[in-house]
Amino acid sequence: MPSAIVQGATGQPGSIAYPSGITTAVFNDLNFVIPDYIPGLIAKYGNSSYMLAMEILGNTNVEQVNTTTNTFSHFEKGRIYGSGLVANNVTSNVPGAAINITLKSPESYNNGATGTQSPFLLNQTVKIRSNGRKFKVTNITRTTGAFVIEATPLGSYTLITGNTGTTLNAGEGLETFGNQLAGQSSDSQGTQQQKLYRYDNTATVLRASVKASDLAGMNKTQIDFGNGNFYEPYLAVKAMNTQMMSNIEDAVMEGVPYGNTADGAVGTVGVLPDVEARGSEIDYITGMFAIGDFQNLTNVLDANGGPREYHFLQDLLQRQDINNLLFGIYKNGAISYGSVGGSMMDSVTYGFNGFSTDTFDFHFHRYKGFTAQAVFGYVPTEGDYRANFGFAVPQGMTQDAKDSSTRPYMQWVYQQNPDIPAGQRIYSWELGYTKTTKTTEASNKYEQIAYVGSRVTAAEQFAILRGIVS
Amino acid sequence: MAKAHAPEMEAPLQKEGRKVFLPEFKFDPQKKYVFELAVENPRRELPVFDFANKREAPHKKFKPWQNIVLTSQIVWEGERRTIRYYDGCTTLFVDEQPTHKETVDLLIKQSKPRVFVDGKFSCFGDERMLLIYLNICSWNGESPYRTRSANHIFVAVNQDKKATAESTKLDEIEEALKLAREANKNKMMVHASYLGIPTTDWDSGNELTEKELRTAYRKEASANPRNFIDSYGNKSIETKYYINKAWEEGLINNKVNKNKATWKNGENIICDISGLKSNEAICQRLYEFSQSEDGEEFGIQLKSVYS
Repeated sequence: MPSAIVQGATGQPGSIAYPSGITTAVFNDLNFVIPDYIPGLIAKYGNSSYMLAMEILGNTNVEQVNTTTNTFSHFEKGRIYGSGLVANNVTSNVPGAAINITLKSPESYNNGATGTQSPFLLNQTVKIRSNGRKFKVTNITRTTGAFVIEATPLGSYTLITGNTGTTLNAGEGLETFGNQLAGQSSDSQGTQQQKLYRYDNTATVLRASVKASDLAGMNKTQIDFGNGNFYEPYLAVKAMNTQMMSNIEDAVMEGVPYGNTADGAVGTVGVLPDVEARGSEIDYITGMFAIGDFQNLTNVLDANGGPREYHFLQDLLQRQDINNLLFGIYKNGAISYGSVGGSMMDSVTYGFNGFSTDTFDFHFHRYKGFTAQAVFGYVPTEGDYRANFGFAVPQGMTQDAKDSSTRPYMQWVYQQNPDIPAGQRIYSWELGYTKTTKTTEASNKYEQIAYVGSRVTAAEQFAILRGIVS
Repeated sequence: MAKAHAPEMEAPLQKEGRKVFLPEFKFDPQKKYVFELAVENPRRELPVFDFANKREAPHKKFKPWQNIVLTSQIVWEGERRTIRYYDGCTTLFVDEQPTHKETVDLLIKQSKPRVFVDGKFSCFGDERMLLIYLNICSWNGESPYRTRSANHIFVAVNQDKKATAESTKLDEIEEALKLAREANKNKMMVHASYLGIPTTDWDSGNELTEKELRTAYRKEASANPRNFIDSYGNKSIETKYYINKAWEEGLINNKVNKNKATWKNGENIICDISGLKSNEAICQRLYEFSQSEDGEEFGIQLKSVYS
């Protein structure tokens, strides 16, 4: 199919840049959230903005600290139980006899291939995954890259893989709990703790401006731009706000790289790049989504401790794929409008509908931000990195590993500028010939600025569902 | 001679007279074959901080988990054909696989999911059908049978290829270090200037000695061997260096006539530099002149001054 711009309406392909300003004006009504005004916001901006939904659900934060560096942080830690893998086959042919096991690198270590940190402690009870046999760690040699534990069986059996043969296979799983056979007059045990990691991110700075001439502000048009206002600048109010909203949403979701900038500006990692690097991806064949693919997804979420409830942002192609599957299987309608943190009415209003399976509740949300056709009105022909794309966002609150404060898994983090009234996410100001700050030119300027970044806590509990094509 | 019963995968199949699927694909049953994701994680702008050792945590090269899709279309003998891997099935071509529902259901149920963990997947050579699938499916970016439109998901880790690339790089380092060690002082000065190696110790303001400069020169040869070798002995670099030096020292100047570059005495005009003000632009003009037919003599004179 040739590349084409959809010309469905006059004025396509979309907005036009006016470097010298035109004839529009703006006022900011994005500093939510006045509950009574929420239905008005949805009516005005539609329900395709996930940012708006997040805002309404209270999943944003205005960060008060570290504003001078634009940096904000959170802490994460690993699993509470440690494990290791056997590096090489070990022979065990004498019941009850100790064997030496070298741990496989890098999976068994905290610091990669050359590390000496592993979860294993002296006297610890360890279980072999393939057969459940237990042994005690009776000696440890912490050689760099070759961490060796001496394993003494707790019973009169060999330490092998499975139930036959004389070999503990390379790749066998060894699971630690603690000392389960301390005996009498036992002494203090070693310490086993998860490692603590700090994730830093920065807030990027977004700007939007509109300049409106005097004539634009005084010429009445034939169009009602809302509330019986026929003057063109009021059209710009909505247009600029919508653009700012999309701009922020794209910046937070897709990230703003800045490694190649020379002016000192900093961007933000972005939710999706963070999850693509630290989360799981489930691939399926486009057009052939099957229940097994759903089970792949729920298996991963379960393994990573995901919460019960998920928002599932999807492009329309994937939504159709999944609908085809679900409507095919559940002909009597298992798909219902479920909770997204509010009432069933809210769910409908914000554009979610839900499906429950394998202990998880998914609330599907058709997310226009993934689709070029919906946002920009053209059909990509040279590849589309978000086609057949879905993104599972865990809901509820998660705990920070360091200070036990709680926050949503995915968060828009606005940085507080001390010169801007507290709590404002997007700051707007104006100056011009009819404004408080006068200018010599007979025009008005409207400006917006936002300092915002992404925060992804427990990225492993997010998931990307991607349809691939051959 | 009787053949030993070595664990070869082909042997039992052939013995029973069964046709081997794509016999040209051979794998060592005792060897592990590794595949890795095609896309690596970019480094975070702000690194992850490990609180246990107060250091930057190691960069994770790949995402932690991604499943392998075991169905794919490929271009086979000039047209698209669908392949699908099931554990225990003797062909990959869907049009040759069983169609009986109960058999298909059994094949689906008995097939294990395969996953890239931390970007890697490996299996022994005795999983021959799986290895054929992974080598020819379109998800493999290096498959000769892949369709043009397919997503590029993974590649085979070719240790020989890796070793060759590393070996080539080591050869380059050795060659570059040899050049750096043997270059005469003049040549080293010219080349070091091009490579951006400072000739001054900025703390003391002293010019680097030949020994100090050569150490830095050799370090650069080791760090960027390809660039070092490619630029070593390049005549144009030499000419530019001499022109810059002559201009800095006043050996070439425009004191007598701002529009003409002349030798020091002001009598012998080299070329016209009308309209050029910055030193860089003038040196560039002199360089261009040196490369022209008229400037050939100038080039020879310049070299004779510094050789």
